[in-house]
Amino acid sequence: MKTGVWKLIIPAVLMIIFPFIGKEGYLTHLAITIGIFSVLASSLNLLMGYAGLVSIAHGAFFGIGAYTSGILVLRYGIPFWVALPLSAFFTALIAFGISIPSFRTKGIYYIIVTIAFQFIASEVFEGWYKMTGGGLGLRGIPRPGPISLPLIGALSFQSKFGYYYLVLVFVLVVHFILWRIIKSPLGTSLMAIRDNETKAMMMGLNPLIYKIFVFVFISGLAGFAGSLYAHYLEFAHPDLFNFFISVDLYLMVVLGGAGTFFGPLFGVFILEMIREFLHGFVAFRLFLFGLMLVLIIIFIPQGLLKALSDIGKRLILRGGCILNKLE
Amino acid sequence: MIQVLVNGLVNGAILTLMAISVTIIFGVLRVPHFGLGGIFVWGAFIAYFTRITWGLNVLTAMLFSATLSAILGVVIEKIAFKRLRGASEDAMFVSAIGVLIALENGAHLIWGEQTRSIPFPLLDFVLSLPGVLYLPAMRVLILLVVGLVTLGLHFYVKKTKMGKAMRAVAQNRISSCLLGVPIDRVASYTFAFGSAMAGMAGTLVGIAFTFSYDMGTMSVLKAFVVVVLGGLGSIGGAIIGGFILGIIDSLTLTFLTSQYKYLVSFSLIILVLVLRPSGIFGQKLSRPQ
Repeated sequence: MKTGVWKLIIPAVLMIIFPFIGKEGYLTHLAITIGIFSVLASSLNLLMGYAGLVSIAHGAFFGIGAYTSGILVLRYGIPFWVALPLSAFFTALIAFGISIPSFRTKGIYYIIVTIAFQFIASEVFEGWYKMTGGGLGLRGIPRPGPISLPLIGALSFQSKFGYYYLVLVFVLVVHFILWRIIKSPLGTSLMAIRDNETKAMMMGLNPLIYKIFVFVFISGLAGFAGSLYAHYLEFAHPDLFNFFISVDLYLMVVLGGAGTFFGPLFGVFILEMIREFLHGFVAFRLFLFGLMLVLIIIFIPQGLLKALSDIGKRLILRGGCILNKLE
Repeated sequence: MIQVLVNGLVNGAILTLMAISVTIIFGVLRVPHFGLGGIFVWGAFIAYFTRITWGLNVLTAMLFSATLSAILGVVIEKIAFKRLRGASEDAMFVSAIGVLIALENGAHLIWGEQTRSIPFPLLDFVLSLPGVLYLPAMRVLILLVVGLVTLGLHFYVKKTKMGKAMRAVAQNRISSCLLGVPIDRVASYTFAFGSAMAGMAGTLVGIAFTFSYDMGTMSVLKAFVVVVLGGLGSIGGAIIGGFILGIIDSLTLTFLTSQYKYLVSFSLIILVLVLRPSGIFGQKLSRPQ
């Protein structure tokens, strides 16, 4: 019990004091990006790891959220705090529309439908010039206005410092909800459907309803994240939400380990680090990502986090080697 | 109108070539090989450079690039897919996407990002019906090459021993393994044929239009759209689907919009899958194992 509490408190304290180290600089920027992508990866993980559906359209929903929020604020003058839930709602609505027909397909056909949707979305972002600004991107999306809370006083989100806390709250709330879902009967039902759909049906579950719920829910989260991302960057561009971003998200989940709670977080961290280090070498980075995908699925299909922790356990418990073999 | 249809037919021919390569690999080995997009790009680059540096004529360059593509395809099979045989489609999809990204960006690293076009000498020959049709020699060549390759593949699959083995593996991998079909060799041959055709499709695009390193993703996706339209694993479906999509694309471009090039074709695929979840010519219950 005591060690368990420390495990929670130490990261929490670190997360809260982090912007005092990072200030307005690069580190805080990195932390915000990682935060937003961790939401995307964890929500995608709920679909891929727990419901067993591979989607390459998560980047599209991310983009739909971002553009909806940006357009509402810029073109219609709606305040950010209204646009944020609206964009999530709108994204979820589109996801609902696409989910009903797409779940008629299975396996590789389903993947192809999601890829097709991703390309349609990208094309709309690029082609609907009047609304999205086309290839020039949507410029000048404002940061959210200040809000005042009863005890703390007015909070401003103009600086990275302030925005970090907004993202942090969002990330923690989302992960708490996801954790609760996974541990609830709903999560168990999802895993049952993933493992054997026919059997789950015989147990009285309706797979379609569960799948639609998960898909709509995670797309809503992606829309939420997209809105936060666009207002953070003050900019939205088709390239930020294209096919390759979807593949990146997919890689994050697979790399960290689909179907584990902390795996995708780890995957986000690693990939964001690689992305930042190889900032100027896009071709090389993508080449590396491609190789990583092949190597991971062949050698460590359960994900990097699991593999590393297994190696760690081996090193710590040298004597346990024989036991491991016996298992 | 006829001109538009014929243009669509020519584009459809290239699509068909790519789609057949996708469909034989999926049909025989159940691998959704998105990596063919990378081989498409490499095929175009290889043909371009053999043509430029060695001055080979177009047909030799195309054969050369097809051969190298086949070797590349076999190597990729050994590295990326052999260990996954019998794994789920999702796992193979991960590997295939990895191959696609690695090959495309490898080409970007090696050859840079400018758009190129393979020079073609016989531009003065034109098949034309005045006022109706205008068909330069290279378009005729494309139709010819695609037709020959398709016919060749058809006879290979129907008449030779290896073709028989391929069909056996496609029907039931485990039984054919038990009956002594050398599955590794069948896999190598299948990947060699598929990759050679993908490389050839890349070369043809390089001759007829222009190519750059990032065209592979789109072309393999379109190939998958075609294949799904026709039903995964069915060669006849791939041919018909390819021509249908080529003509639809051509019609969209001329009469509707050039801004939303893919919107129509990709919406079409979603629609088809919704109405017939395993494609137009696919078996009704094609659930792989």
